[in-house]
Amino acid sequence: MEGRPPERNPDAGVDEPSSLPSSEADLEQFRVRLTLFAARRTRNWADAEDITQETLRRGLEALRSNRLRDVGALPAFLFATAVHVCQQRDRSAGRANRALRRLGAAAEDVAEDSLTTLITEERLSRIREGLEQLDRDDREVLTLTYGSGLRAEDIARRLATTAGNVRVRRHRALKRLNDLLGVTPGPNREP
Amino acid sequence: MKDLTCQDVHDQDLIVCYLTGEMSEPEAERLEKHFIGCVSCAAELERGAELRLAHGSRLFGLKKLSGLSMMDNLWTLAAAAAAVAALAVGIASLSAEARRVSTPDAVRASAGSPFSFDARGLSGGEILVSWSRIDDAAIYRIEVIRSDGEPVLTSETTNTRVEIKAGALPPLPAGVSLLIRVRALNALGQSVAEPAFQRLVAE
Repeated sequence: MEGRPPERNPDAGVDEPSSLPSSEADLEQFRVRLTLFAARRTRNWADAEDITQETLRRGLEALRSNRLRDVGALPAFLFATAVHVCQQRDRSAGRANRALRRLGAAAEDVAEDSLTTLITEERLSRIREGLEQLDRDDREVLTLTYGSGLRAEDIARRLATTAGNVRVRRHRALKRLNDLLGVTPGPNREP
Repeated sequence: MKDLTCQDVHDQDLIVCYLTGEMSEPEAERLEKHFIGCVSCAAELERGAELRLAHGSRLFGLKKLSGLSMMDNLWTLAAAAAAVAALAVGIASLSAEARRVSTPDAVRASAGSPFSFDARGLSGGEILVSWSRIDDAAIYRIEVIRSDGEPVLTSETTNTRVEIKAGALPPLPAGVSLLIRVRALNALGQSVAEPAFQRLVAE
């Protein structure tokens, strides 16, 4: 399939990529990563979810109005849109804060306040259960990587091995965890 | 600046650096450009985010998630479940106990146009929330909060009704109830109609 042009409908009379996403479901695959991008920028999950929703809405609008004629352009369009929506939010927030200051009121730091609500423990406990079912070595490498936030070089020093070995172990541990959780996200890529 | 490859992402441990917030803004943006078009690295990013949260660690240095929907989405995607409902219908869930909603009267929107929503309890414990479309609105945001101000659920839809399914809401402390409202937002995310919260009353 690689390098092969999209098939055309000979009767259509126009170039129309057959695989262009056209529904909410197609756009949903981008939701989580967009939310992560927006959360990193705004420091606020509630705002991040709003930004993601707005980005997807604009993406859907672009698809429905045929403004995106190449399926390969969709990711870049969504990324650029998310950045743009974040910038709009920044400007709005700046205006609101300035208005509050003019009124003598302190601008509320909603970023921290809004981060004190619920985490779905059910979700987290399923991940923890999966971790518990892994063997000790797999669990260790995942905990050091994601729990402690250590890079492969740091983990390698602790475990007296090489960074390359840590990366391979991490990749395999993730795959085994995904298998336990019953999902296979993305192609199986060995580092 | 040269685009990143999957090999770069792996060899430089960029996913961990990104999730822990130990990355400069230009580096993070460069990585995000890669994530948006790479299914494999994006899946690893999402699983990494879940694992950090499962370990009680912060994402990007942020304290906690603001609500349920983020984790719902992470999980939904990871499980490759059909996630269309989040956009098309709006999702929320309420406790298994049947709840009745005090049906609100029409309220006057902040922008001056009348905007009302109606919430009705169904026999299975679900709650059907509906409202009339207004011209300036691009999207409608359904908000459920606790009476002590704690946010519980937020969902958005372009439709004019959502069904809140009977499900698993965290138990409420004594004396705390749930409130609901529907806000109408324009394309810039600004509120064009913002009725007051209405109380959900347990039967």
